Amino acid sequence: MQSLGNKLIFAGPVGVGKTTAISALSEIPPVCTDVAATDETLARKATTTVAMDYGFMTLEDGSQIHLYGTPGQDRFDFMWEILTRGGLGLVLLVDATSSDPAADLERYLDAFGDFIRSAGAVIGITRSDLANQDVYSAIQQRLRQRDQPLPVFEIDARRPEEVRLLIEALLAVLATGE
Amino acid sequence: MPSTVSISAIGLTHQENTVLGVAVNLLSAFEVAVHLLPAGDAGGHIAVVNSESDAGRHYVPAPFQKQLVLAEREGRGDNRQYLLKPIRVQALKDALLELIAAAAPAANDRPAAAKQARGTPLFYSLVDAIIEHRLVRLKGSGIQLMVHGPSRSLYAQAAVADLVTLIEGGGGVQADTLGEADFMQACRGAREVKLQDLLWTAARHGGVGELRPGHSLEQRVRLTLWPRFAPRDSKPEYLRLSAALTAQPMTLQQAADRCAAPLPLVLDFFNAALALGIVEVSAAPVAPPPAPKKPSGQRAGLLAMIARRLAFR
Repeated sequence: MQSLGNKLIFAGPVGVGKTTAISALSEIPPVCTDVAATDETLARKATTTVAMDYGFMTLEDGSQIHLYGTPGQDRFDFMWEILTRGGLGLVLLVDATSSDPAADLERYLDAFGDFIRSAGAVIGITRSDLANQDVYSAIQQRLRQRDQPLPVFEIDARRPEEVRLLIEALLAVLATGE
Repeated sequence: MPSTVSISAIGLTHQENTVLGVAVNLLSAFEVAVHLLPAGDAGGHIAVVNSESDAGRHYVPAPFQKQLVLAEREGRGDNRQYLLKPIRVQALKDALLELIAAAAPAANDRPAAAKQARGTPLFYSLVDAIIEHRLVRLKGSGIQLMVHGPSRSLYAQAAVADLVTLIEGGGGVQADTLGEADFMQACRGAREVKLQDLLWTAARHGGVGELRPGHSLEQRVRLTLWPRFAPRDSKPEYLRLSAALTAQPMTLQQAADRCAAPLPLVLDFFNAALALGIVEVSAAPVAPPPAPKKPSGQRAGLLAMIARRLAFR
């Protein structure tokens, strides 16, 4: 993985929109390692990512930024650490229709803690329009409790301009060097 | 008065020139057609003169010309108005409006401008109402917005998209402070609008670049949370300021320097953050903030290339 160079990592629970977000930025349709879902995932989507999603963007000097989506299911979490090696930063997506989005967030903040501290992260809340609770405020409150003021945006992963805003905020964090 | 008013700047300091530029932009938002002449061109309908500079002291106005004199002390004179230093954007804008209105004939060929002059930029009124915990009706330029300052809540009959369009069109609003009963009555049938859905649009299209009373450029400021921007409102400077000010406390001037952002824009950002309640202010003695862990040149170049690749504004 390291030899592939610069990477942005997209993480979050099953069905949150990681593959869609990568599609919004990638020059190629994402390469997916999806298989038919056979467990509780089936309730959300017909297939699920078991290793990673992959896309890329080519920069003006010909180099590439690689976009990796981590598998959403916990039993593939051994891939998370592998994928983050050499990563520039983390885009963490949270599903607003989950039963406890703030708890989901916390789980991922802990799991990717070392990577977030060494790189940087931004949080995107998806499916806010379908939620019957104020997830944005709950997420902000949880971040305030953790004294972890990360950028948070409600996004529709199908809209490139909203995914780009996440990356722009992440770049601002990375440029600050904190 | 001609339909377009030209303004000359005579002997202004760098900061005064900046303030004048912002004030002139504000006048445009009030539908007053003004044009700031390049440095050295003294032929404007109005001359803004720094009386403390050599150029200002020796300046001889043309017969037709109105003067706005920036001075340490009040003075009097025909065709001349005084504004005490240090000048503020709002005060300068109001003084220019007065000069423009006074010069216009009774049957003003720009009645809209005179009417608009009584309004205030929406952003300014909105922030005021929230920070002062007032219940306010903002009305004008097609907008009607109810502001419940204590709870930072907004209510409107119009859809957010329509309000955004109206705010982008510029123009001023009248602010009426209401009692609880009148406020409830005026809100009947209105829907709640999220403050962040309008605040940044209002800041972009009606920022005044002025520090609020009770605050100073020397105080240290820290953001407790990132503000939320819609893509249409996400100025790169706002993102840089958010990243810098959540990372560590610093003065607004230090933030402006570090983020390569004009000070008036930083002040508008700060005012919006105050309205959102996400600012910690400390009067502690100012030491320069520790230098951030600067990205290496190679890494900084990479970040810049990614930004350009995504066609960021």
